[in-house]
Amino acid sequence: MDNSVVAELRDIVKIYPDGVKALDGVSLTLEKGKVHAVLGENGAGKTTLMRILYGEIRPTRGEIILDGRPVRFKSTVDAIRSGIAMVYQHPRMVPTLTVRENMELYFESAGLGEEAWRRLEWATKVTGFEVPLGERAEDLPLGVLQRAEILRSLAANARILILDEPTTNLTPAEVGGLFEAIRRMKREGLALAYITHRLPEVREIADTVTVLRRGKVVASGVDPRRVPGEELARLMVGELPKPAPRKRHKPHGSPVLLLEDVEAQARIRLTIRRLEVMPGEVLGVAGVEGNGQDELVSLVIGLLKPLRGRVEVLGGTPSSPRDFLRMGGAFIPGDRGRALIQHFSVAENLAFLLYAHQGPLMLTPRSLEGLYRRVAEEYRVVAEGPWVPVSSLSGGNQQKLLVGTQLHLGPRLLVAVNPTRGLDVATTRYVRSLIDGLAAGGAGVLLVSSDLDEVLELSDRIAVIYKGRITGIVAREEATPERLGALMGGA
Amino acid sequence: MRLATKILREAALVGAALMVGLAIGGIVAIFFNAPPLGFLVDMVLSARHLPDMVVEYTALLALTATAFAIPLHAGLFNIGAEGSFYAGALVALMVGVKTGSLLLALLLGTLAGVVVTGVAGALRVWLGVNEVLSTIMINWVMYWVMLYLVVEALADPVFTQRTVKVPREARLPWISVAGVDIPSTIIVSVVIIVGVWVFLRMTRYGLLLRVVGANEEAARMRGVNVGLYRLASMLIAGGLAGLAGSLHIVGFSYSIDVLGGTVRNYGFNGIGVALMGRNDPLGILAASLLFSSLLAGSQVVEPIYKVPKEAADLVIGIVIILLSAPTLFTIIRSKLGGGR
Repeated sequence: MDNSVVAELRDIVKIYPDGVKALDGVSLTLEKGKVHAVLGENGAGKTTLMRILYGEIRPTRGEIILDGRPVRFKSTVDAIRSGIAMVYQHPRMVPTLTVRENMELYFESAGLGEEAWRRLEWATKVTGFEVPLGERAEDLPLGVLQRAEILRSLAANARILILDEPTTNLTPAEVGGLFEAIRRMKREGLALAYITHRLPEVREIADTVTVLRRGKVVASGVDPRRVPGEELARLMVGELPKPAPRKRHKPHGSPVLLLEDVEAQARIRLTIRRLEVMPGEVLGVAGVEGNGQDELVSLVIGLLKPLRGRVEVLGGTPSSPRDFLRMGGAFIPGDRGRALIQHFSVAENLAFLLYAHQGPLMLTPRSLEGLYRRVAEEYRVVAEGPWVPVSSLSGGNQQKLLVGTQLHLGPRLLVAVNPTRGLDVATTRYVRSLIDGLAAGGAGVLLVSSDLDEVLELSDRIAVIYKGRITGIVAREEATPERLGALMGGA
Repeated sequence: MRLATKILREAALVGAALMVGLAIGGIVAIFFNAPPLGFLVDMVLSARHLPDMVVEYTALLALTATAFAIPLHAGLFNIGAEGSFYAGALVALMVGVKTGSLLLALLLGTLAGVVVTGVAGALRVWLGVNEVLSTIMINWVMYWVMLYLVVEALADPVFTQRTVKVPREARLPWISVAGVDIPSTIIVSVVIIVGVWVFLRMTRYGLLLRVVGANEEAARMRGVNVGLYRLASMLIAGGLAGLAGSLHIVGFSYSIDVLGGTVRNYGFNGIGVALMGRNDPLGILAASLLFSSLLAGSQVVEPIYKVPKEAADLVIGIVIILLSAPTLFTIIRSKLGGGR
């Protein structure tokens, strides 16, 4: 056996008590000094697989082999003591404790004392990471906490480091620093597992790739530098539905949204001379976040009153979101975590999102189940039924729930904020096709997105917002990333 | 199937909490030279000697507990059921004596409760006054108002230890179940609790009320009038507690003693019952039955074993803490985390 192999997962099967088969015979090896990317969409089973290696959940069948010997972890403590560490997408530190105290806790569970603190100095040198040990975790940005977790893993003698979607919460500069640290950790002989659904990252950092789809390995031992990106994407997603051909009618009639000489003030001051959305049109609003998008959206849905000027939605002026929804508006907010009631059931969330502004008095279990069948199933929300909490749904399914209810309202004006943020390729495509279809059916869409590709793909016209002002409105045919980029920067 | 396992799990939890509470109670009994086993058996089983008391307590506690639960669903911490209970009892007594009308006594008593807790609700919604502080203060105001009236204006000239009694025609008749006479307040209470359950779980307004408490921001984004729902939750709560106080007067005690003992603590005990019942109306019904049985038991064991009432209260207290811990924990976490 090749002695550079440090860990091997053999034929791992995981069936959850509710019968869901998360993993179906997955095998994978981790080698010294190599980065092994585990590529797959949301819900493909990547994180489940790694949590099994980390001793957090137990496989239904299959073996974990460490240094040539089969092992059975009772908990993560066993895994940590065997030299395995995992850094999750969201840092797992006690928020009220300082970084130093968090590390102390971790070292203690690893059965380590002073020597760990000495190794921390070495770890700092290897990674080039500096973290403020005396600060409380809750006061630090997520990127800093992630670096602290990597440091403490190395200090606690980790030989195998699992990184779960590590770039999610990082700025571009931080991503560069992370990749540099990964390269240096490789040189120190660590075996790294890198979970992601982002192709460019795989191509930049991975030595070998295993692609998972719906709990199965669809490709392994892939060299990311030899295989073209489209091929990797196809493996990850399967056959993609073709984007629907755009068959738009020429916008006609009176605008469904009109802002004229509007001034408003929330966090920043918003000044708009004129902005309109015609029926059958998608108006994209591009811009770096925090340049007045929140204010614009609040104004349109009736949450914010203008200091002066006219806001006309479908011929009226909404005085509250309730008004806006009753007039025939619909609204997909940018943060689904805050728009849904996480511990309420799927059915209750459906009823809330559809009926908050008006609806039947009685919501019997039977009527909610009917709603679930009509809306959740029509919009391909995968859930174990109407009565499971929304928090048990994946991010993509939560978003489909949110988007689905808003389309089910049959709006004549849809306000959508970052509708595909954090979604995998297939779900992104699906959600965009829904928005496209709505516009094709004659409704107007105000699409506020910080994703330039999204704006370019969906919009008929693109308005660029910068420091509370519309710096330019560009027709789709004339829009290039360069031109929009310049407007977004205030040029 | 799922429901059955859920109920079994809850039953096991109640059993375990009882065991721990009783074990500690047994140790306390030993300190007072009482046989621990006899003390405990009587504590749990004496309720059968006092069916009317158990039924009455269950009826009242279920209402006051729901008066705590509804505002909590809307995100408010209502300590004011005690004050509304006093108000309901006082007004029902006065109206009953003056008019001899049962219906009027119940109606105006309930209304008095609505007004008392409603003040705290309005202060919170319009002026941002913390409802915990205002309800505690209102409780004390109502307490002294009640004592003043009981001693000064409503005292019975013959039986000076209590007020005048509600005349016979304004009383709620008792019912006989399997040869045992019990107050019919329980019927009113159960009907209302089930109604509240239907409201919370099966109506649009109930859903929106719970959304207001669970995620205020999401509610605002959909145009739900958060303040209105909060105020409504306090008004309903006041009504429930006021009704409980009125029912107690017209259905069980008919008068108030000069120390106020006949009407004290129903509001406060309701908080514990609500937490034990997981803040759910049906859970609250079960929890109030358990609590009332223990309360009745504690009154029996005191004279028999010469153990101070506090020892029995200790057992009840431990059971409440153990059973309400999960709900309490959720509340504390949401106050600390998403509170702001």
